[in-house]
Amino acid sequence: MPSIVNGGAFIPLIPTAPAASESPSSFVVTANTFFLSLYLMVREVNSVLIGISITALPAPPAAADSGFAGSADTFVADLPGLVTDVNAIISTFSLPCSSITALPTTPSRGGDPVNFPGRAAAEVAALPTLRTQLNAFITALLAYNPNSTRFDATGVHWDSTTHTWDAG
Amino acid sequence: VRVILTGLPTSLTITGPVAESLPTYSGGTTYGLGDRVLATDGTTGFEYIYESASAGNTGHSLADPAWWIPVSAANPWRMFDQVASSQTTSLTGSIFTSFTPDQITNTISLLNIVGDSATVEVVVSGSTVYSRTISLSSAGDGVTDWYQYFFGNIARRTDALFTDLPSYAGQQIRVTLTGTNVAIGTLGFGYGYDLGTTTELSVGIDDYSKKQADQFGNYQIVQRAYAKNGSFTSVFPAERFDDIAGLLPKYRATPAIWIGDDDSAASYIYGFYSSHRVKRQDPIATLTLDIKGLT
Repeated sequence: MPSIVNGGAFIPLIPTAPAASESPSSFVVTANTFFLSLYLMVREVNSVLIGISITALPAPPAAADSGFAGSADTFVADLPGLVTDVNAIISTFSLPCSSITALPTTPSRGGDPVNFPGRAAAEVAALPTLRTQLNAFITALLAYNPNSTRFDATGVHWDSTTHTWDAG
Repeated sequence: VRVILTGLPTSLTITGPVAESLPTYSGGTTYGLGDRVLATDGTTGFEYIYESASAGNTGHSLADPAWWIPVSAANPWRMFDQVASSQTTSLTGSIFTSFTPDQITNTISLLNIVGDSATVEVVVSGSTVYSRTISLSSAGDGVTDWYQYFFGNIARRTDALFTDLPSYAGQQIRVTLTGTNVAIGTLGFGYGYDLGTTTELSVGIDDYSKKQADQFGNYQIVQRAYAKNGSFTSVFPAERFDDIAGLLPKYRATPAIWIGDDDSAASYIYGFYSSHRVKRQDPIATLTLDIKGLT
């Protein structure tokens, strides 16, 4: 049975998502931080889960990486999986937050060039919502804490031996 | 630097390109001015398009310029005409070309192409002995940050070069160009003759577009074909001086595919050399080539 252990782990909230309205130099900085945060968030969330997890994202490409586009293609292509997996966790633990809205079809620079501009624009436009919903998920997950008052108030029982939840 | 004197395909099969919806020439038919017909070349087996130059055109030979104007090769065979800018096109998907070369072939060059990827296979006695695919996406070129990733322009490579084919006797070569809207300007094949290590190259174009100013200074611009040109310098051991100096005159006034640098598609030029100079300075020799491309 899936469970959450060490619910008090520190999972930082996702910072500002990049926006098409930003200047190129600003966009680069915001996007670097944002995508790195998604990558780190997955690792941290997985560290508090047993029996269920988010499929690991690859590390986002570093600036000036000669294979940047290929690595970025891989990273972006894995984001829908992140959404699916987070939604499964929300559902499994009935976390008090909305499901993550599905991302649009992801862009790939290696795909048909005709499709890329529209998909890239839609992807960038979806990132702020993704950020907001992920932060709600992180907040709900952290509140789902065996040591928190909120947990005590709900009456759900945390078995510190088996590290599993039961209904109390 | 490398040169390929491209040959003629035999046992040719082409699938994918749209066939021309034109009637085949008939000596008993009367054609009007501007009527177009198809005719098969007896030597190559390629189909060509001809246009009637006059009304009342009956029974005149297609070789008679007073009555017929050669327009171009028909769509499937344009990849083998001597015009780099005219393309064999497919609007519905891949183009597959299978042929037996008429000469030793270790190099395939695909010029002025549109597609997602290009694959070359060598089949001998039914067994595939070589298969290699080159992605035509240049979408990652120069992309070093997320802004360029999302908002940078995407281009496709328009040339692909395969220089490492095994040279079997009786080999069948299969070339597949994949994509949605696929096109190929020139499919060149033959022996890639090594002309030394490139030390310097420059490339450009000769633009045949019309740009004419009227009496008010307003330009009328008509875009027309262009031809690539280039200058290559290479070095090679002085022992090959006679070899290379003796080879190049054989290539005079002959369309060939000139490769300035294997890794630089911009340096692939289908054309002829306008001048060359081979200089010996033991222990090395230097070759300087000026290439004029075909449109």
